[in-house]
Amino acid sequence: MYTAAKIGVATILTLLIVALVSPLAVFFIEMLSSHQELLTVAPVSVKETNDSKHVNVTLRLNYSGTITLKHLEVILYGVKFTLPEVRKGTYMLSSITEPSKIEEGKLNVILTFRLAGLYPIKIQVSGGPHG
Amino acid sequence: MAEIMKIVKEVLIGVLIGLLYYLIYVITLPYFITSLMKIPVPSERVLAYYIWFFIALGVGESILKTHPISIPLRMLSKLLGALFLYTIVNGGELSGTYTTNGYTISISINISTIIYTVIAASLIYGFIDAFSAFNNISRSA
Repeated sequence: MYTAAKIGVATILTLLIVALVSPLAVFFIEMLSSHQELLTVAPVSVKETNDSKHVNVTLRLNYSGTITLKHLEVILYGVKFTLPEVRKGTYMLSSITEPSKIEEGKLNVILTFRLAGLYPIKIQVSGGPHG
Repeated sequence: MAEIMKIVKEVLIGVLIGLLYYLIYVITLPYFITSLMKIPVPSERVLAYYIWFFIALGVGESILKTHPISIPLRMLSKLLGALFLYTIVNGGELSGTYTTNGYTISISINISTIIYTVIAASLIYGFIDAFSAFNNISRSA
């Protein structure tokens, strides 16, 4: 009786762990095979608004992975962009901010999301070719 | 002579049990988790010390398998395995920093869901194993 219970429980628990690990494994395999272009964020335009006191920042987010990303937040030049869910595709995001927040030549991007809604991930890119 | 051979056999089985737990908890699981994300684990020298805990528990469990003391030993090897795994992967909080083309990229990920599931799985399996051992010992007594 105990042998059957041990095999049954071990099988169920192994399947559960495999199910939990698989989105993580798929995401990192896709990331390595896509030469770091699985998830890209690029500023498209920075335009003055009608009141001339603010600027409208637009950025393009491209995701080519198969695992859904939830609660995605991008902080670029101190401006926060949010998306509740990201699937494979291209997204245009825009937000209004003050011109003083945008410092040219000094990149600082913070990306946070929950991989498959389970694993919180934070990626921060800073600096640039000239420091 | 037959008695000595029996003890040697039990010791060898214990060593194998210890090595198996060591391979699962200290080598395979942390390697699988961290190699995917290219995040370093503690040096092999430190990890190598852990092997003696598992071998000692495995031998104790094997030699004393007809004695009730083997029941907590069975539980202890699984608990220790889970504890080592938790320590090696920093409780599931993994982070790394890389530099490429002048850019500094910092990545952090929280995989505590997996770690807690492995710990819970080890405990559940450990309890069933302990009940099974208790049943066998009480029947043979």
